[in-house]
Amino acid sequence: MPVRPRRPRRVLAAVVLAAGVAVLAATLSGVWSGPSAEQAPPIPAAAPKLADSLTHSITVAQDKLRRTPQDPLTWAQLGSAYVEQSRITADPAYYPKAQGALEKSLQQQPEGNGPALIGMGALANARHDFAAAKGWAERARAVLPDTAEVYGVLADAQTQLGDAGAATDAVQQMLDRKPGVSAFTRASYDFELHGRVDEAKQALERAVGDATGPSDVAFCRYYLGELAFNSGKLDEAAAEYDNGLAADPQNVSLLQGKAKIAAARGKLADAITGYQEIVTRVPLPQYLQEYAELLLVAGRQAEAQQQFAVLDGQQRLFAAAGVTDDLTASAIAADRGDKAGALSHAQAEWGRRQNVLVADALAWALHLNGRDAEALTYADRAAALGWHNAGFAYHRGVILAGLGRKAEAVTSLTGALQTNPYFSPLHTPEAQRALDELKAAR
Amino acid sequence: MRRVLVLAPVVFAFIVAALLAGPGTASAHPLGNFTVNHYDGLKLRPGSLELLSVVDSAEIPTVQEKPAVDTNHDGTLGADEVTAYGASECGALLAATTASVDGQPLRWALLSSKLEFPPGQAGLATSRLTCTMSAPARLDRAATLFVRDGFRPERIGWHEMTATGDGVRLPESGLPATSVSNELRAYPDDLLANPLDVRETTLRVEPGSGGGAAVDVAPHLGPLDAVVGTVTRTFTDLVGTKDLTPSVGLLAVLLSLVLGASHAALPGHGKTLIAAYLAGKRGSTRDAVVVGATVTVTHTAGVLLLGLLISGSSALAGESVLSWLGVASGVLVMGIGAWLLVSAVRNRARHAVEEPVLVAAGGVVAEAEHGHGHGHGHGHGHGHGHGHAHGHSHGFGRGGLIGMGVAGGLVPSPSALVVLLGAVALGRTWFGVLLVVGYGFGMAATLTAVGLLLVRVRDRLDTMRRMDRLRERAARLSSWMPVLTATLVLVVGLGLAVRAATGNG
Repeated sequence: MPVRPRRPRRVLAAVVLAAGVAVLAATLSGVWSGPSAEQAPPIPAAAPKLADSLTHSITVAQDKLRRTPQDPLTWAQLGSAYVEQSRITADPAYYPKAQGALEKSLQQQPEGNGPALIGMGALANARHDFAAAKGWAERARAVLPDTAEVYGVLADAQTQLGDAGAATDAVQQMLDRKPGVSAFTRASYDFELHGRVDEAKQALERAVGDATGPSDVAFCRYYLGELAFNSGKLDEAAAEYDNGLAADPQNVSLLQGKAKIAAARGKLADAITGYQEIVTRVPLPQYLQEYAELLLVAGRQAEAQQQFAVLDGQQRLFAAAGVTDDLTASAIAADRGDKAGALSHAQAEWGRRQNVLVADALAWALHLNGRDAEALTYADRAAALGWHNAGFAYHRGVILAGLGRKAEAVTSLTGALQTNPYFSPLHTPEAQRALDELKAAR
Repeated sequence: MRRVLVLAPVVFAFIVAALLAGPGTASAHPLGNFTVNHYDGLKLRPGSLELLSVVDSAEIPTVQEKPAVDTNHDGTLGADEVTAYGASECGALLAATTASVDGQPLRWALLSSKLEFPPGQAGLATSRLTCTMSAPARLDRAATLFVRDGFRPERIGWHEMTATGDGVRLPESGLPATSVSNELRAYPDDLLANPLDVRETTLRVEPGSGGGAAVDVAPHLGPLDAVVGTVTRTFTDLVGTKDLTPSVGLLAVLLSLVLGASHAALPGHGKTLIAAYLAGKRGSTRDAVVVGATVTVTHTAGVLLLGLLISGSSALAGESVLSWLGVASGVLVMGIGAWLLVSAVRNRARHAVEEPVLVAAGGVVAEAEHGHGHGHGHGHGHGHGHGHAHGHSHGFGRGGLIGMGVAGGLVPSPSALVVLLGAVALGRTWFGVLLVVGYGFGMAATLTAVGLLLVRVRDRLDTMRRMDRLRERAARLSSWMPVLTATLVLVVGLGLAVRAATGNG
């Protein structure tokens, strides 16, 4: 047998084997050394506590844009997610980011950029610039006529601007396209505004059935609680708030619901403690005002004035920026006995938008200034949709009484107290007193 | 926004709008007028821990605090009132800041306190509380330090921590050494970063100096990005060129072929090796092509599908999908390894002495051959490779071969994915698809080439073996080789799955 041919073959075999072993070793070392060598250092930044889908999608979009900054769609999605995150966490730091991301998206794709237009609309709504929101929504509709979110932005804007018919249409369009949590909660609000409480409740129950994340569940539960509370059903409302807190224990609006229940049940000290915690965490004007009213009811005048001082500071911040929330300002002025201020703020808001809440505020401000005849026309407009709102009915009753229309006044005040005997710790006793006086005078 | 009016947080918008409306007003609080922001600067010395703690409160919390500062209720804040309140606040902060070394709590001593009211917006003040404190601590040896800032945790705001060592060495992955916000004086404005929220830290320290992490506000980049970085930058640049001329396009396609080919040849691609091995083992050119084609098809389809999903939905993380695919691929390889092992063991039992043995094929390997009809029934429904070149039986059928190909192509290459996403983002989806297909062809070319090479080597080894006198001796040892091979495949599969699952795939 020839020896020579054999040798190279053996060498070849050995070489192949050696090479194979080397490659295998490389593979295995790649496998085993991988974790230690490639592990990214834990970065102390941004440990989001809400590990929900929204936080996740924000992280994903951020990562994606760091890789590929030229991506108008993802910038638009990120901007919209920031708007939503700000709503959920009540952290305003996300709004400038939202604006920056959305502007970047529009800059990269100025034409036909529907997602960015929707985001801009949502942001404008969040900032109470409803006219602008409507404009964005209409531009978005021209690009994306079959996208549900367009109609969500449009519905919110139209509701706040006071075009109830257009708002209902927009909600219907949204329901037709994407019957989910967003559409059902809007439908519920639309039903509630039109006095259709049962349907409002059904819509919310469907929404809660569709809700997945804790913040969505909390959101739906809060409004189920509000519906019950506004109908004077304290136990049902308390149960809903508790259900919501089970999903999201830190939700401030649910804590506010609990504090309201405590106040309605006459546990004033508990309610005040609750509000104290709420305004420490999230000093929104609405909470500060309700807290101040509770302190007034409790006779703690000095502390109430401190809260009004904080509200003053906020009004000054708004004014300095040329931003106005005259609806809230009017209510605060009315609480503090500033009749002229209440009227001028309400008129200013009415000049911008004509929805039922503004109509009611203007009616009340006119009444405080002794102009009941004019007040009644606005109270009528507030009542036009049929909303069972105890506060509206109380205002209307007092205005009617001022006009000497006592029978109607009694009906309206009785209606207010029947709808919700707990509608305001400050105003419920006044409504009762007015009703008693009217009945005594007959 | 769903129910705007009744929705509480919307009113924040005003405050933020206020900030945006006046970019010229330098005094506006960049994080919103509700925020209470925290900074903790730790300094570690061998014998002590020092802490500089700053609390920056925006306008509204400052107004809310005012009644508490104004202890004599005269409506103004006297210097003594401010000093006293600053001291009491630092006391509260000290009490709320917990620190321990190796589980032993530290006792803070307050060194200084200062309360200032820098002017804010609309004639309102903000407030800035600065406290320094120190605690004796044994940091002159290896120790674990824990610090948590629990002061006013409920308020919204920025939470930042830094750490430096003086004679104490800090871990590199720990806190940054310098403050990105210049101790709450200038907040960074990065659209792609969330506000900092660092409230506690655990640091493993050693004697010495240095260490500490670089300043980094951005959330970390995943392994995807790491791989992608250098390799594809030129590639994506090409894709992103403003004027996509035919020559540039052609260059990009060629580059995609090269990238794909080199990707398949990269070390660490255990699946690739195994696929090639199996092709070599079956020993026909056709089989080598089958493996290459399967990998290409799987990989191209995977990239396209994943790219489609990712660009269509931001809720889907590329990273997590990749890691799941990595796990799936590893499990598939493990399954094939287990199957090989079972059949190898059975065959060994059946044929105590076998013909010897082929070496090679990606080196993983050697193989027992039985000059018999394959007698093992794994019942996988595929023909066991009858009628091909060598006529001997195999432990492995075409189904398994395709399975290995799928495993090899299942995890889309991050670079191919990024190229596709980049092209989609630029509105050049079809060009991106073309490049991904090119990439797949490149991979297939390498794999097929490796497979063909192994077929050739095999043939030569066959010839050699027939002449080998030592074959009797080798036979005993080599009869174990299939078992060893199968075990190795199993181990590689396990490794791949573990690596993917731990996020390093």
